Amino acid sequence: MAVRAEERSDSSEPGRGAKGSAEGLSPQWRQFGSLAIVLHLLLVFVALSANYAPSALQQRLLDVFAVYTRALNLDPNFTPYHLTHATEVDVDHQVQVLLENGDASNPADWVSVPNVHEELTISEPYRRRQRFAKVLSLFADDDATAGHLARGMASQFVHQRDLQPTRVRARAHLLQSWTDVRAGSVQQRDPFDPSYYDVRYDARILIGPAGSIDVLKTATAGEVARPDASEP
Amino acid sequence: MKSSPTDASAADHSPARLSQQFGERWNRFWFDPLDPIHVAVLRSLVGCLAVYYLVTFTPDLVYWFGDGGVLSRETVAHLTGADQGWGFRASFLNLTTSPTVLWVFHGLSILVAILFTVGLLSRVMNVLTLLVVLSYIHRGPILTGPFEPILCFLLLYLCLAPTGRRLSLDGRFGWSRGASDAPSVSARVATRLIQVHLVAIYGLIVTNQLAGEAWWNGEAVWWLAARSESRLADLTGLLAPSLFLINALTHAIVLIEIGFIVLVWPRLTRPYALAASCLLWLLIGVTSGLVSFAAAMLVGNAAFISTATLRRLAARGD
Repeated sequence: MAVRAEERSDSSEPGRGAKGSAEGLSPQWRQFGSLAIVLHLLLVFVALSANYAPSALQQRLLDVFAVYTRALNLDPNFTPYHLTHATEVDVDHQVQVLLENGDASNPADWVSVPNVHEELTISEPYRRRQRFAKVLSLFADDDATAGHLARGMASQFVHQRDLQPTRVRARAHLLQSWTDVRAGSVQQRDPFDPSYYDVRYDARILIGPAGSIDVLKTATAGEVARPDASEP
Repeated sequence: MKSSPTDASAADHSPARLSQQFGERWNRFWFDPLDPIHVAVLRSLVGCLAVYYLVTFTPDLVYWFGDGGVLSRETVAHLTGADQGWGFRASFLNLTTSPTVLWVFHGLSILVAILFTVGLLSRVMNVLTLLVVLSYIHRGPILTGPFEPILCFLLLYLCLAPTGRRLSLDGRFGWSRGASDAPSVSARVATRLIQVHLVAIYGLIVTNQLAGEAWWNGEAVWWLAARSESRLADLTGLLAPSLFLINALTHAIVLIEIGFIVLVWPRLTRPYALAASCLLWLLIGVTSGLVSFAAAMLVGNAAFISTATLRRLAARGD
């Protein structure tokens, strides 16, 4: 067995073929296989290279070959493989829902999804809820998309939990800087201090008599025009 | 007539000779038969990842995909553009929102992944596991992270290989075709595709990281560790006293990634590249909380383990 093992090819020695190998490929099959490998890897490399700031050409190629790359999930599709660039996008997000009779000014009245204090942060269910919240934050200015997502969250509360949501918002949890943690005030050293949260999307939920759900986006800070000083 | 040394050296570097050498190396790289133990080990590991992925949907299956769930089919169609006719994201989970049917599908999906993991009807279960995983991904595309694309290409390439010949129930029952230890061309192709795709992922990670300032100025590890709702463990107390430590870890991540791309191929440096990558993914997993992604990358790294090592491990297992 030891002698036969030494005769076989080793993946660490790509140059050595097996003696008396049980399978072999004819030249024609090797040509076909090589062509398929090259084409496949070309598409993979196009998909991967388009992950961050794709050019118009890359985007066009992706659209042409989407039936292959997207169907097999070979296209990372803006998944942040860079892990972080320390931008406002590379932070944690959560969705919060205010229920009927809740007080918007009372943090305890908001239901957080996900809830960092009640769930295991490395679990996949937690991560999926975070990604949902992130997408809602990122598409806050796209009323159609954000409306779909907010409506979906409200629908889950209405139809599965039998609760009446009145508002849905998405918050970004901003990051503490190194100086904050090292030499900041008590509030700056607390990562869960309210000052580290920024509302990216806020909408009212309107539930019709038949159970229909409508979303009315509310103005966020900075979107409301400042009153003219000459106006009373 | 004697040939001059000049003639001989010119012939060695002629385009035809170089082309022939390239072709021979290409054929050895891609088509030399390989002991199927590689793909058998990968089958077990990738199968475990697939089972994990599917099981983690259990608490939230109806929450996301059920009637009145967060992600209705209309929402997903809008997000993916399928409502405009260019989705290419088929999913059997689109067939129903009934909780009963969803749970039946879910149970069958997990069963398929388990059978794939233990190597029963390996070829069929491999393809079915891939289709099942893709169905979940396409049903909830905004729920995916860096883990899912890794899992998908691992499953895809293993479909090409005789994963059930060794370390499997197929092998135990004698259901697999061919001798269990007979080298296989398809095993080589599958393993090489995994290796090349994995290295391309490392390249993707590095090039994307270096497009941002945080990885150049050495602060990226801090910004990962500071995400208090994502991290596995709070390292800010350990990192805060020393900016040099933050810088060192950040630069180490980039250097290990670049080093892996180059050094994993030569036999002499491969063990060191693999060992360093273990430390890399441990660090990334702890600071970012992306434990499943780190695990998937480590499983992919297993494609580079030598045949001799795998045989020793398999012999111990027997």
